[in-house]
Amino acid sequence: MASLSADLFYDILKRLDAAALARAGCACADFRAISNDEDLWENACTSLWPSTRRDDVRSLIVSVGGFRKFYADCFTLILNKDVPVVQTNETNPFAEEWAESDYYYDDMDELENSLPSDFVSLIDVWYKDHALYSKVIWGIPNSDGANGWFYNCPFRVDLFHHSAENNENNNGEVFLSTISDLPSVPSMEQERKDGKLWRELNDGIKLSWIIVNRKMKRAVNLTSWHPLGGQRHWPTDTDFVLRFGSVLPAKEVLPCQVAECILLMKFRMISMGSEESGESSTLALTELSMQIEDMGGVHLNGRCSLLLLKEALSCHRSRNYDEVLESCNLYLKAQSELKEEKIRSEYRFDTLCIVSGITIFGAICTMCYRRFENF
Amino acid sequence: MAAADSCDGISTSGGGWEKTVTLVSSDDARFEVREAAASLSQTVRRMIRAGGDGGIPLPKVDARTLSTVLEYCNKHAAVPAPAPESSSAEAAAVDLEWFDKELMHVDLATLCSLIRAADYLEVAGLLDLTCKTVADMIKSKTAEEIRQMFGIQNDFTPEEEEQLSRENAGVFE
Repeated sequence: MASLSADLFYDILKRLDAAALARAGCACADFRAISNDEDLWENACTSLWPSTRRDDVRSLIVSVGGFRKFYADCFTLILNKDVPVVQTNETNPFAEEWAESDYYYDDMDELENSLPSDFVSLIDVWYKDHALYSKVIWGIPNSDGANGWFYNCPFRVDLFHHSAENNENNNGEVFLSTISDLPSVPSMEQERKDGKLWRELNDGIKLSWIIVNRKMKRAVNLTSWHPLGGQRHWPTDTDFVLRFGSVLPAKEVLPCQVAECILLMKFRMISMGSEESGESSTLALTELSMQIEDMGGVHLNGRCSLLLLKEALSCHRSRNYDEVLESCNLYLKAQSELKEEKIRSEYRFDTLCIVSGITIFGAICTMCYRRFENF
Repeated sequence: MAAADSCDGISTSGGGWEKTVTLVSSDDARFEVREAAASLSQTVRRMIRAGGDGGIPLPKVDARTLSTVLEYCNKHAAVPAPAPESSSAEAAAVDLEWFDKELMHVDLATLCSLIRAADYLEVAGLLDLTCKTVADMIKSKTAEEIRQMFGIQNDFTPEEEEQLSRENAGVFE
């Protein structure tokens, strides 16, 4: 077999995606040497995540361990198998506790390692493999309040709100129409009925939200790539909300051991397009935000959220997308069961209150009657 | 295609006057090609500029490989710079794509000699096409299958192998 020079093998391996590159690197020592080349991994990363093409992001990735490590960290998704199972037929002793969620963070002084300024977010949005939007945020926006209110307020990173404040890339400047053939919508009633546009949107949109910690030199992708759920025509008729996310481990932070990182993406319909002129409908990206909620649906504060993000940087990940999806669905199921359980226990409490109220009232009546009789 | 013609000259082709050059392969086969086609190779283009008699010697390429390279060059040089968005340009692009695909229906050994020839002759388009073809062949294969494909030995020590599988565990399985 006629062999090729290392340079020519390099030319070939350059054209592989990262997973194939890693496999080729296991074939022999020569391939290994070639496939360890950082430029090849940089190539793989920048062609996958447009946000990594910027020079400042490049030096960030080099400073946290290089592109090969970055790819391994971020192409895989968070897998959390520790979702607690809620027993439906008996009262769960922790249910109340979870729902109330008293945070265990009072004795934690580990915040030095997770200052808001250490976190960098790299966000990319695609529609059917076309890059739609990329954004890099250095630090956590609005976290520099001197009084520490950030740590105690509900945590939320809102891209458009943040950029509107900085007067760059104003609200709704990202449109979804030119690069994609969205189906035109004859009327809102029709869309409500058949949901054609909604389906296209659900199938086509892909999100990546990478968090890099500069001090810990780790990175993690918080997304589920594809929507986990969503709501159409909400809050107004022309709005479409897609929900992405992941289940974060919260072993020593929350009583319920897990929390959900919720990434919300909102589109608003600008024009419906028309079938006669062949125009496709236009949607504008109006919101892209990240927040973390515990199992009871309580929005976590800044301190807690930063701790969880820090934990997430070193948590277990998997390339097996189905497995990840399954664990997310398991979480959502456990969450809704918990909610039902809470409603049931509230109902029981209400009944108890009413019964005891009536009993007390009856007792008082009887006492009064007896006293009256004694007279 | 192999022609025992003399050195660089002028001949007729397709009704018009077109300049041709003669390329000589490593096994002394002579190929007469249009200069426009030969100039797709940067190496040949430089040699044409330098001038010389008796054809351009290409000692690193054998006749079989050179004829495939020239087939590629002739096809790609024949396509005029397309006016964008015209239907004929689109058809030509489709035709060219189909031609490239057909040309790549060869075994790995031939592909490798084509890669080496394209690299030596500096035909950027052909190098890209052949590398991409080989990359596509590698893409879906495991490490063992890649070894078999290129006939290479597994030269890792057991320790190295263990380290590799540890590094790749869960990430690149």
